[in-house]
Amino acid sequence: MSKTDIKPAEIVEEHSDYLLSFAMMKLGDLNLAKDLVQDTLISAITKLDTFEKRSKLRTWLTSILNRKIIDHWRKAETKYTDPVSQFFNSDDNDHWITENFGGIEMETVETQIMREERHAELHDCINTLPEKWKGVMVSKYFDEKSSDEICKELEITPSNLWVIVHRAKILLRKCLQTKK
Amino acid sequence: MKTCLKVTEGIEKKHFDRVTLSDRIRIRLHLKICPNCDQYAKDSKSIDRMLSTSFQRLPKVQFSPEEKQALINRIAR
Repeated sequence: MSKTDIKPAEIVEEHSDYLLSFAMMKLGDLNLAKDLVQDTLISAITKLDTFEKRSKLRTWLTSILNRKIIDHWRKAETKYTDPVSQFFNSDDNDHWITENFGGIEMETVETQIMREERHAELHDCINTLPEKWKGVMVSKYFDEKSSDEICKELEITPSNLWVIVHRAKILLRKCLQTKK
Repeated sequence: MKTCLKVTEGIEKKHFDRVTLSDRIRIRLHLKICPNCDQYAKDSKSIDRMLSTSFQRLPKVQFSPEEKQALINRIAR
């Protein structure tokens, strides 16, 4: 396909909303998602000659967007923002496991999620995680990537990986329990 | 007590990495006597299932017509 076969207006009309939904699901930040989709379309247009007919245009655009999302996560500082560090660095190492948040059982939350009642809350909770952790969780549960791939893409060690998953789950649990 | 931290981390480690037989036994025994860690193990599985389900649906977000026009103008340059 030559460059002239693909019109900018067509790309935007046919693919931009899909790309935005895809980016939004992974990033949870609408402005950031819009920025990355815009970057994706700009770089796609400049390298249209590398687009192979064999792959569908949408698949190709999605793969460019995906790389930009991974770049974003990789560059994101693993900032231990105040609530997070207070949560994990207190004198009592176990309080976050033993603490009863007065909350609802995860099994109940799960049933509600399965009945599609609380998806928004779950997404809100995912969005409270530090960016890099979010990247780990999305790569694992949405992309179903292998540990090796996740470590390589996000530049973390295997032991970082499961410590991040552990901490992310504790924060998610706390968030879901307090959000009823 | 550091045991609960080690045990709950070990529960996640199992998904990614090799855990020695003795550590697996230690985890299993600890879960039998520690209700908090046992609860964590159950919650961890619930969260696994919730995340796998919820990521299957794309949110409905769209560019406004004005944003689309601006995008077309930018990339047509």
